[in-house]
Amino acid sequence: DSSQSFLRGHGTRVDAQGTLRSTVCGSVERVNKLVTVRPVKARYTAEVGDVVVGTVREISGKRWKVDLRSWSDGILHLSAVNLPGGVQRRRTWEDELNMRNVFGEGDVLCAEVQSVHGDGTVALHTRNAKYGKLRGGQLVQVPAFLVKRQKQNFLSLVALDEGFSAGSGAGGANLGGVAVVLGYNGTIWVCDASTLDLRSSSKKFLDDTDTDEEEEGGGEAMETDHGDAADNAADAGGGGAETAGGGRTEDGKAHESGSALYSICTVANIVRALGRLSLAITGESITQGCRLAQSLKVEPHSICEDDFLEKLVEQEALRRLTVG
Amino acid sequence: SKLPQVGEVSVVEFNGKTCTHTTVWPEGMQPTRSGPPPAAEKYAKEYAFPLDPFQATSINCIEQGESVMVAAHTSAGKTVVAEYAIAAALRDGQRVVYTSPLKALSNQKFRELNDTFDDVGLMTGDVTINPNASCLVMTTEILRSMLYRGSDVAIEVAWIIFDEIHYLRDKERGVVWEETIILVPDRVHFVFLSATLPNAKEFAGWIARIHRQPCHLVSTDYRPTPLQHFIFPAGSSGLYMVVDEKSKFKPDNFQKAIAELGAKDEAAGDLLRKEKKKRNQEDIFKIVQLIMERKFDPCIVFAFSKRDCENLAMKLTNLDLTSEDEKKLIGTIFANAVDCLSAEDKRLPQINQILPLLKQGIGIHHSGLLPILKEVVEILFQEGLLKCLFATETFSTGLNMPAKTVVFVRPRKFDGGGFRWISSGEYIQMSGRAGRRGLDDKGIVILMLDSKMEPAVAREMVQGSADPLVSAFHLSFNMILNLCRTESGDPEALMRASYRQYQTELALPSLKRLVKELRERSNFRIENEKKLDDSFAVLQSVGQLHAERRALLQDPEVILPFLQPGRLVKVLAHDILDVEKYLGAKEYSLQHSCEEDDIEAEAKSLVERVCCAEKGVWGSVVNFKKVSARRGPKFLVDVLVATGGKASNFALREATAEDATPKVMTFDLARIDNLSKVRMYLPSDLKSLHTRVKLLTAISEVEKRFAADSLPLLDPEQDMKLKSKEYEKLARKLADLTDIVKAQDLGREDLKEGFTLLCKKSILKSMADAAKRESIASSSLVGKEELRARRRMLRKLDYVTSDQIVQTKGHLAAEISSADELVLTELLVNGTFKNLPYDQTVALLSCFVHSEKSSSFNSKAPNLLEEHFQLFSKLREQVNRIASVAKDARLGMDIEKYLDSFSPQLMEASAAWAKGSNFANI
Repeated sequence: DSSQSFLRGHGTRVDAQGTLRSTVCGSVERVNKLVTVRPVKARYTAEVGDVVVGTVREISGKRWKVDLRSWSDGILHLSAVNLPGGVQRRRTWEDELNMRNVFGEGDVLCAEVQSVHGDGTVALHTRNAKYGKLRGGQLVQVPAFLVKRQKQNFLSLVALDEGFSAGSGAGGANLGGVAVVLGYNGTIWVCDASTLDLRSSSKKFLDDTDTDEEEEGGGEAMETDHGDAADNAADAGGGGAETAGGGRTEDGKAHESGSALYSICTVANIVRALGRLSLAITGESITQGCRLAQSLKVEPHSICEDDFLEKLVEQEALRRLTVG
Repeated sequence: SKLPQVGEVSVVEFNGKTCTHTTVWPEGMQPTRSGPPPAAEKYAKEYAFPLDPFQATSINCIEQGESVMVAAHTSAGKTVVAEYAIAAALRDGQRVVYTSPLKALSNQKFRELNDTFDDVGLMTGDVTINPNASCLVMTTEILRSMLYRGSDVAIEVAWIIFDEIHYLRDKERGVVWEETIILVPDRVHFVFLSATLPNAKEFAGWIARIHRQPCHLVSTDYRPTPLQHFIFPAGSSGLYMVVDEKSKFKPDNFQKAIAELGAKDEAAGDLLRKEKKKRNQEDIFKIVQLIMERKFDPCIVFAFSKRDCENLAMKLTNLDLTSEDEKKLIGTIFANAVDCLSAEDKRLPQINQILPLLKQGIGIHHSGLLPILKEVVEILFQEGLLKCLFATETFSTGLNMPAKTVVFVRPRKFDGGGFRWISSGEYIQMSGRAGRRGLDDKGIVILMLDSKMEPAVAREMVQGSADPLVSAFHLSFNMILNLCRTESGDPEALMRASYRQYQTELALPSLKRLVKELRERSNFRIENEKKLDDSFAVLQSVGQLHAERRALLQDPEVILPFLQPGRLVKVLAHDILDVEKYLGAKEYSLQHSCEEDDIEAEAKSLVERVCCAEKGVWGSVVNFKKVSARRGPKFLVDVLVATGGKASNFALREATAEDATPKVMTFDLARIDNLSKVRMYLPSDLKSLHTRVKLLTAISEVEKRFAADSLPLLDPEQDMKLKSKEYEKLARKLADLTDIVKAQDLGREDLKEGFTLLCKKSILKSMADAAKRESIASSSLVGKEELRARRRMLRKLDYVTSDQIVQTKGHLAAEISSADELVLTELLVNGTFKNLPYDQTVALLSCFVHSEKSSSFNSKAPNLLEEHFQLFSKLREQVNRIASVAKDARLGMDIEKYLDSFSPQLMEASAAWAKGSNFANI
C-alpha cells in the first residue's frame, strides 16, 4: 500500500485505508520517497535562511515583533541585531531602552530567518550590514508564492537598464538607480539604489558578492489569479506611497529628486502588475516589464491599468513560447 | 596581488627571558606604530607573579584591541594570555569564545575558567551549560555551525580564542578551523595559542589579509623546565645524555650509544623478531626501574600502538611502585568512579584487569579504553598516584598532564604504509609533556633505540624545528551546501580566503624562480647528444622487452612446474619495482630533491639500472609458496643465494665472489629472471651453515664450468611449453636489439658518463616541467576543478538546482555535519528509517561512525542478522549509487576507500546495546 512506499510530508495525510491524500490544493512535490503538497495560495511559511521584509508592529521585552504576513509574527531579538556602529558587545539595559532608535513601530526592515520553532514562531536576525531598516522607497505586497527561491534577493537594476537611459526622454527618468529587495514572504521593497548601497558598503565575507550582479531567475508563473497589491496600486502615482520614516538627510535628498521618484514608482507598479497577473517576480521579469513600459511610453500611473496588463501578458506569453 | 606587510621583529627582554614580537599589517593599511605595543595604564586583570616577556607583550596587544598569535611551548604559560583576553572582554561587556580541538580539553578548560570567572558557559556536542554566558567554551565544530546559522553569539562576540591552533593541519578536522576563522566577522579579534611554529608569520599574514586587521605575533622558545634528552640503546644497561638542559647536542655520547647498539647487534646476530620484542620488553622493565631509582617518576611511556601499550604494561606486573596508603587511595578513587556503573558492567574484563595494575602505580591510556577508565586513569595520574603511565600519542595532544620523564619506546612509528622515524614535530609535542612547571627543575626525555640511526637523523629529530603549519583545507558537500544556502554566500569566495590558497600564493614566486633555475640548469651541452640518446633508448627498450618477457614467463601455470627444489634460477639483482621504475623513468616530480648532488646520484643510479637491468645472480630454488594478497594470490620463492655485507644490510653477490655467505632468501616470483636447465641436488636440511656452503660451492662450480652467460637455459617455448605468438615476437625483437647492443658495444664503461649527463639533463627538464605545471595550477584558484565536480554531483543528485538554489535534500544534508551527509540524506528521504525499531536505527547508524578498516565490504559481513543484513544492503546500494554519480561527475574519489568507510562490524553490538544488554555480553 502507498503508506509503505512513501514518506508523508507537509500537506498530506494517510487516511484510514492507508492511502496518501493531500490536505491542501496545490502542486505535488516529490523528493525520492518524500511527498509534499505545496499549496497554491497560502500565507507565507518561513524557512531557515529566507530573506524577508516586514513591518515592526510592536516592541516588547528585548524584542521586536515584525509582521511578516505569515502565520505568526517574526521575532527579532535585540541580540540578533547589529548595533549602530557595529560594536561587538553584550546588550545592556541602555540598549534595551534605545531599541526604538534602531527600529521603531511601523519601520520597514529586512531580515533573515534564523530559525523556525516548533510552535511556528519565526526567529529573525539581521546578521550583516545588508539587513536592517529600509528607507526611501515603497512597499509592495504580492502573493508570497510569486517570489521564487533565487540566488539573490537584493537586486540593483543598474546592470539591467541600458535601454532606460535612452528612453528617458519620454518624461521618464533613469531607472537604473532603483534597487529592489525581494522578501520571500511576498513583501517587496522598491527604493533608490543609493540608500541600499550605502548600507552594504561595509564588506564582510558572507556578502562579498555585491548587490550589483546581474540576476537571472527561473521565470515561471502560477495559474491562479489574485493579488492584494491592487489596493496599493492606487496611490502609486502620488509618489513615495509608504515611505518609511527615517530622519536621515540622505533620504530627504533622494525624495527631492523627482526623477528618482518617477523610477521608483515605475518599478513598484511593474511589481504590482506582475503580482496582479500572478507572474513570478524576479529581477528579469521586473526588468522586462520596465522595458515594455518604457518602449510603450506608459506612464507609471497607467501601468496597473488593463491595457498595459494585457501587453504584459502578451510579452510573457511570447517569452514562454520562445523558451518552450 | 600584494601581500601583508611584516613589521620589524623586535626582541623583548626582561627578567632574563626573551620573546620576539612582530606585527603583520594587512596590505594597504599604514602601520600605526612600530615595535611592540606600549603597556596599558590599567589592566583588566592583575597577576600575583611577574609576567614573562611573551605574556606581557601579548597582553599589551590585547589591550590595543588587536589580534595576537602566541607561539610557545606547552608549559610556558599561554593560558595567562587566554585568561587575560577573557578578563578584558568581560570588563568591556563583550562576549568571548574559547575553542579547543577536543571535547576533553573543553571540559577541562571550562572547569578551570569557571573557577576564575563568574560568567562561563560550555557548549560541546554532548553538554550545554549556561549557553547565555559571556564567556563560552566550545568546540570548533559548534562555533562553525553557529557562524553558518547565525546566532547572537556571532553578533556579540568580540574575542575568539583558538587554543592549539596547530590542529589546523589535522587531515580530517583541520578544515573546520579554517572555515571557522574565515567565517568570523571582521570586527572580531583573535587570540591564537599554538606550539612553536617555524612559519607562524605566514599564518599571521593570512589572518591580516582575510580579516583586514593587524595581527601580532609573539613567540618564544622559552621552556620553564629545560629538557635533558637521553638515549637508551636496546639491551644496554645505561643512559647516554645526548642533549643537555642548555639544548646542546653531544655527539660523543651519541656515538657511544650507537656503538653500544652496534656491538649488541653483532653479538646477537640476526635475532628473530620475537626475541627482539622480548628484549624490548625487558628493556622497559629496566628503564622503569632506573627511573624509580633515580626518582625520575612520574613518567609517561609513549608506545605507538594500543597493543604495545598493554603488553608493555603487563610486563611490569611484578613491579610495585606504590606505598600501602597510596594503594588504598587508588582503590577508593577507582571504586567511587566505577560506582556509577551497573553491577554487571563492573564485571567487565577491562575493568577487572586494570585495577591491580593501577594499584601498583602503573596506568594505561589509549583510545581503546572505556571512557570511564580513561577518566579514572587521568585523575589518578594528576593526583600523582600513578608513577608510570603507558600511553599512545593521543595523550600528548590532549589534556595538559605533564610528568617528570617521558620515554619513547622506539624511534619509529607505523604510519599507514610503513614504519618511519618520528618527525621532529611529533617528538617536540610528546617530549613537551616532560617537566612539570614549578615541580621539576628539569624534564627528562628517554629515547629507546633498537636500530641504528644516523646521527643526522637523530639530531634532526631531537633538535629539529617544529612541523610547519600547513593547510589541510578540503571541500566538503556540507560546506558547499551551507554556503549556497545563505543569501550570496559563495564557496569560491571561501576557497579564495582559505589558508591553503594563501600558502599557495606565497609559494608562487619561489616556484617561478625554481622553474627558471631548473631550466637554466638543464640547459647544458652534451657532445654527441643525439647519438647517445639513441643508444640509451636502445638500452631502455631492451630492459623493457626483458620486463615483458618476464611477465609472460612468470605466468604461474608456465613457471611453477619448473620451480623444483634445486633448480638453478637467475634472480634479478635489483628490486623488481625499482627496475621497472627506472626503465620508465621520465617523470620527476618536485618531491625529488633538486640539489645538484642528489640529481647526479639519481642519474647515476638510473644509468646503472638501465645498463644492468638484466644483472642477476644464480641461486638454487628451495621451495615456493602461494600467499593471498590484496590483489589476488602471489607467489613467493625461497632461493639459496650468495649474500655479502653485514648482517643488517644484505646484498646479493655472485656465487663466485670471495666474501659470499650462503643464505636462503625469499623473493617475489617477479624477481625470477630466467631458469636454467641445471638442477642441483638439494640436501634435505639446509639449517647448518656447512651444508649451505657446500651447496653454494657447487653452484659456483657450475657457473665456472659454463663460461659466463652460457649456462644452458630452459627454453620457454620448447621446454616450458609457453605457447604464445606474443612471446615469439618478443623473442625476435629482443634478439635483434641484443645484436645491436653487442655490435655497438653499448655496455661500454666509457659510454656511461655520457649517459649520466643525458639522464641528468632529462631529470632536470622533467622537474622544470613539473614545477611549471605546479606554478600554473597555483596561480589560479586551488581546488576550482574539484568544486565544479562537487557542484555537478550535487546537481545530479538534486541537492541544488542549476542556479545553485538549495533544494529540500540540500537543506537536509547541510544540517548533517558529523557523518557522510549524502548517504544519510538519501537513506532518510528513501524512508529507510521509517518505522524502523530503534535498535535497528542504532545499528544502521553505527555503520556511519565505525570506519575501522575491514576487508569485507563486498563479502557478507561477520554473522549479520537477516534484518541487519538487509539494512546494510540498502546502505550499500546508496553508497554505490553515490559513488557512481561521483564517477560521472568526474570527482576524483577513491571509490574503494569510500565503500570501505562504511563498515557493518559494529551493527550487532550496537543493536544489542540499544536493546539494553550490558557491556559484558557485547
